[in-house]
Amino acid sequence: MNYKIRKIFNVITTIVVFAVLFVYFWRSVDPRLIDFSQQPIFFRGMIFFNDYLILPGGLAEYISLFISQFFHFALAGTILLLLILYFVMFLTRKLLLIFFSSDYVHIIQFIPVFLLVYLHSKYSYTLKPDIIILVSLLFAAGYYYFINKRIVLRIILFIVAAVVSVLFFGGVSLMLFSSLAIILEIGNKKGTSALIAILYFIIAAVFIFVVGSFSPYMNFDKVMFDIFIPERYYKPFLALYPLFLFYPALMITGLIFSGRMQDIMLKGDEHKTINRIIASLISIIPVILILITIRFSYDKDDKALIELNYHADNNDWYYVLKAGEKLPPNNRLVLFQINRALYYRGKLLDDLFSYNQIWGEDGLVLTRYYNSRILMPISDYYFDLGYIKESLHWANEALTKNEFQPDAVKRIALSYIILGEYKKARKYLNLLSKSIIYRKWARHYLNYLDNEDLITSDPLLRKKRDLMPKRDYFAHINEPELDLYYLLQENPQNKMAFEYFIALLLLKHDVGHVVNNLHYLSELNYNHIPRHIEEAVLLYLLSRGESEAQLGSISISKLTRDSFSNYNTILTAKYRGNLHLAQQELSEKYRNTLWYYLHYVSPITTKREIKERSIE
Amino acid sequence: MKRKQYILILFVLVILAGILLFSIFRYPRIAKYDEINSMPEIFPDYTSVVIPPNIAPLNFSIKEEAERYYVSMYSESGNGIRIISGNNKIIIPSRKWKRFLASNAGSSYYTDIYISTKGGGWKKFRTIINTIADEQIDSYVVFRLINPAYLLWEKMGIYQRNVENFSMKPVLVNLTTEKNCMNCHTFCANNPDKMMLHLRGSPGGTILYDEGNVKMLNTSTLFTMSSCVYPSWHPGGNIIAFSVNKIKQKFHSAGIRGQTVVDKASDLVLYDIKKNMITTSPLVSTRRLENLPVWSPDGKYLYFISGPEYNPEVPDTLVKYDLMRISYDAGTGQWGKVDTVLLSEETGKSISFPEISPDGKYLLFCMADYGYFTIYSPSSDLYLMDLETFTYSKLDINSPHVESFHSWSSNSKWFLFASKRIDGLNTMIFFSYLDDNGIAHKPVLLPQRDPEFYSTFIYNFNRPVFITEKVQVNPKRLTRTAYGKIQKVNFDPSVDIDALSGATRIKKEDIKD
Repeated sequence: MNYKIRKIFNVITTIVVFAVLFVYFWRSVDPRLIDFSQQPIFFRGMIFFNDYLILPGGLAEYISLFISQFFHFALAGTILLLLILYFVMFLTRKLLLIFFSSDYVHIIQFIPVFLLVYLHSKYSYTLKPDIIILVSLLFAAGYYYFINKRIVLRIILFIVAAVVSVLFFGGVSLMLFSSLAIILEIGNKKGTSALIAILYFIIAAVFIFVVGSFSPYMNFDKVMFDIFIPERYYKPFLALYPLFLFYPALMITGLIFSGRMQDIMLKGDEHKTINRIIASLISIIPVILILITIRFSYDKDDKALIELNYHADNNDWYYVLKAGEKLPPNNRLVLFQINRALYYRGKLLDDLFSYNQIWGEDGLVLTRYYNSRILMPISDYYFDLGYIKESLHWANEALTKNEFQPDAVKRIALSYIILGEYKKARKYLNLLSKSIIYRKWARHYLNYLDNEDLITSDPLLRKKRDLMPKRDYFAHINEPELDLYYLLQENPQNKMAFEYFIALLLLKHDVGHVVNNLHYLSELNYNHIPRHIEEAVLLYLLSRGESEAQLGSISISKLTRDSFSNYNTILTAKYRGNLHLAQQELSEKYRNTLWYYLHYVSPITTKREIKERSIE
Repeated sequence: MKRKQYILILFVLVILAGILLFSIFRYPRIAKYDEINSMPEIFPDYTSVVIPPNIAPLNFSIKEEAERYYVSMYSESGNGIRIISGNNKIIIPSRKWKRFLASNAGSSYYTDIYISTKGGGWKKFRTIINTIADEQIDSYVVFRLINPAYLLWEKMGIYQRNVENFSMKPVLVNLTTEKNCMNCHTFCANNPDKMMLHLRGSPGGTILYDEGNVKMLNTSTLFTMSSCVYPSWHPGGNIIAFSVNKIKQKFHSAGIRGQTVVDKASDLVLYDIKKNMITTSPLVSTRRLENLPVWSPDGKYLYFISGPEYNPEVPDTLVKYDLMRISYDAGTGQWGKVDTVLLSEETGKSISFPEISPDGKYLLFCMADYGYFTIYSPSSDLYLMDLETFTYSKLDINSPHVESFHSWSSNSKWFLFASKRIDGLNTMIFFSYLDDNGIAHKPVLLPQRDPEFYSTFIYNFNRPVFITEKVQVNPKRLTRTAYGKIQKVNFDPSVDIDALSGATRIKKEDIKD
């Protein structure tokens, strides 16, 4: 009876826990954001496979990439994640039942799941450790299946599994598997157990030493500890340590206390009610724990930042602004995407200073201080402008840093189509057509190659071709205003070049050049003078002691004139020019103006410095 | 018992008969076929080429739609290789290929390609005729594999490929050296036991592997503008000529060029391995841009290119390099005088990457519209100069795309070069046979096991160099050296520093000390 009760409650608990996780991963974490953040790609064919096979532990990464490519789809990604968690739990249960009674196992089996839920809530966490755990547990469970067979067979099995582990899944996998095999042997309580345990320990150590010493592709520490070794952009998650130590630690505990632990449930039919209560309690604990885990795992800020970039990538500018409002502006990328969204929603020169432009020009254009995390956004910026060769350049930089990053490969292929360099485009499209996820996209654009009619009928490609520079000059990554000016000179209809040029001048306090370029307003058919230009003009006139009449046809709205007058009155008359005293009132009334930016926000004023590394 | 033995014998006989039948009927007897009066389109284009007798199988794809493909390779002597394939990839068995080449060295061989379409029967293209040279090619090529390089790098490595098969092994990969940059691998006269390469970043320095000894050098001195850059190893083995450069990368906004590399300054220096000392001469460290040194095979001359002094007012697209040489006595360390070998004024183009054949007869070099970093210049072509007459000509093997870095096989009968001719994007290795009349034959793309390898491979085969044998030093040893003790090189105090280039960081008082 107890067995039945346990089983029913176990099934119910598992269903409830996994139902909660389903909703959590699908709706909250959203595998599409993991996909967007990590950009995993998997190619069919031996060349891609061989690239991973030569690396100790490479197969774990290969499998991880194969699975995580399906995170491109929210539902598929969620189901795959849950399947992995379930298999981890299933194998954990199998192994723990060797030493523990099922009452304990029913709770303990969820611990790795909780840890993995925590890890998978972090968008930079990859599937590789999951694969390593799964394979190691699978090998250990398989080994246990033969635990009562002849010793020679067990040793052979161990050696085969150890070789496969260390070569294809890395030293961590071997360490986990061999430690479990050793514990299982000791638990087997045969005369030779201790000797076999020592033998296994020596074999494992020798294998790791040999592979670590002779692999030309990896240093010894990397072969041995792999996922625990920090790299430039990889910091091992702390939760990995308890996750990997969990199994040996718990099984040693089980080994020590084996036979001394009693069932929680009472024996005999007379305790049916009590047992039901106990079973209910045991079942409720994992459900409560999973809710607590979710509560502490979910990283709202991290998600918001990825969501912002995800929406920008999908040109959902309304949602970019919405996501941007939730994020602090101390990340330049946030401001950069907000500014792009403002441009696309036609508000850049009206609402630029409604957002806290604390990074000045470096929040509008990222090139002066580039680093590996912002290479694709830089490419996006140039692509937006129609400056295709620079977009191509930065997509290549991104591809260098993140091998086969699909966004970068797609951008490079499109850029070459726009440039009319079809052989080059074909290569990247051929590459993408080896991916299950991007095959359709690649095939679509393969049709475009050498087909000018098809290209000109594509509005995006046609537009970019019209906008791209035809005159050759060298890019100015440290003086982006020069590039914008050249683009504008060559194509006065390039509205984005104009708005970014003006915005950049405003952010650099250069109101003089703003006024000198007002003629573009009529060339670009603006039906009103954008507010920030009006603010710049008024400032310019004041600084030069000139009147509005000298501007010709340009007329400033009454609202802006009044605002300027009031701003000056507050600052000069009320607070006698004391910027510090005037700040609170000006902030309340004119925080969204150029004037306030110049006085209080601009990095030129605040001497704010960018501490990001310019090159990585 | 007897019965069992009979069954066993019968079983073996059946198996043998099966094998026999399979080998007889494996290849179709194509008695009837239609002739197609054109050459088949194959990739790589291994048609009308001269190939070395020790090259790996020239696997290829047939770019024709068909259900079945049949290829027959044969020679005058009749023996040959037959391949039938259900797809368009023709993978030649290595052992058969080796035997085929060995027995036909010095003569032509023929390739017949048949295709069979559904319901259409067999069709045969015109026969491909290739020639197997008598002279072997150097067995190994060392190159760097890098992404299409711009400002950043991540994964790269220096590899050695055995051209007699498909084996490719790392010499050193940056996964073991914190993903730093590694470049300019160079050997002394195709000798794998004398190798150097630079590491940039951390760990940084120059690894010198000299016949079993390996050490890490810091070639930066107070008196040179940079660490040592482009190298050439003196055939005597004790001196390495380097350039020192201030390099800048720029990006084009339009046109066929992506980026360009320009030097704001460059000089030449010599590193004496035994003395651990860098020296130079006022003659090769002027305000002009001396660069890309290369020794003549007899070690008596140092060839180099020389451009006008950097002037920010002059567009980079107008900067052209001349080809010069200076005599040098490696025994006494005496410099001779500078001779002009070829002026850009005369050619109208900029000269780069001179390389002299090991027999001293020819000088192979690149010329492009401007600058010296020809790998980014689609206008870059290969030229060959006869060093007896100093006459030069553009090679017929050039393409509309980049032809750049090159290297001679030790017997001077083959040279390889990096070219972007296949897709205009990635550099791939081609080799060409140079006959007794100084004619370079149609280039052969370095074969790969999978003939479609190049269609999706987006890395560059950078700076390919021939060596006669495999590099024996273990990559792990090189890694340990990179992290080991660094030997700082000294600067020759006897150099007349007043005449040095203004770009060189000179501290006169330090020299006196």
